[in-house]
Amino acid sequence: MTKAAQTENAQPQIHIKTFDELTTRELHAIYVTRGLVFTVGQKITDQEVDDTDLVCFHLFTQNKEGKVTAYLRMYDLGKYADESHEITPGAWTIGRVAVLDEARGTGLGRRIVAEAIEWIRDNTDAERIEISAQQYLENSLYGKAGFVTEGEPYIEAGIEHVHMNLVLER
Amino acid sequence: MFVAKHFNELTLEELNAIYIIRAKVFAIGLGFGDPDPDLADREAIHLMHEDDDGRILAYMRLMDIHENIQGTKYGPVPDSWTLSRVSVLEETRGTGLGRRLLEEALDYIKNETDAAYVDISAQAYLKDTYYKSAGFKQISDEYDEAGMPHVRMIKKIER
Repeated sequence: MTKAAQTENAQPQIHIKTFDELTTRELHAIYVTRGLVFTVGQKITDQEVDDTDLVCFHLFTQNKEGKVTAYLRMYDLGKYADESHEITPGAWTIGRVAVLDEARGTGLGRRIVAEAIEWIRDNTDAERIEISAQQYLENSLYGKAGFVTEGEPYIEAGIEHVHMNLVLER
Repeated sequence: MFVAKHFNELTLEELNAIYIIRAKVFAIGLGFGDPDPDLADREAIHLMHEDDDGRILAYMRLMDIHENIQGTKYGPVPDSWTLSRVSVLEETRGTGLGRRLLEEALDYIKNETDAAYVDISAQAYLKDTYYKSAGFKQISDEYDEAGMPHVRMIKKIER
């Protein structure tokens, strides 16, 4: 493979930032992508943008034009509850996992989940990661990353979800 | 108090609060299924009424449409600005805040731009109670936009 082709296939850089570290353009690009994936793509009419955004870590990749191609957010369930979790000391969560249509099939989803797990392990005291996962991704995305399902599926935002758990080996 | 800011002047908190109110009114309130955060936001003037806690109770965006706004259906319409994403929180309805928001928008366009017209695609159910009483004239039949009936309306700016 020529050097040019190698650069073309190079993995996009993963950025991890707190809300305050984002630029306005980055936050806007994140919101455009989340809107396309969740509100438009999955027709979810629940509150997409919310004030949890102010307190979480944002993980994202961008293409050359600045479009956010993959995204997820991470936060400490020991400090912040959400619609699927009560305050749970020792646990972090990841949510709003989104990959734009044009970037699907490239392994980007698996890559950002793996990166999130590694970041939480290296930068926090979390003992485990608890997620409310869309059921259709249970095996292909989260199961493969080591998450284990707990309990029965339930409906959240009109879509089937399952609780999944990953214990962080330390 | 009312604040009008170009996208480039917005703080991160304001951008977050703007999309929260737009979601409450459009995605949740009206079942608006089209992309809401969009590229047009980067070119727009964002007009909002913030309370003392920084909550946005009323909002709309204003845009110069003399050229097509890239990636969107807005423009080109010469000498014209448009208003869209008009969002007023349920809890303030009946207080006149929505009407004041529209007056602020029209003042902004008159004082800060050279626009000759304000040219809008208005939700049909507001055409008489909200826009007509502010001087807009309906210039089209009803049509569908984002799954809801709309009409085109125009107001000439008196200079």
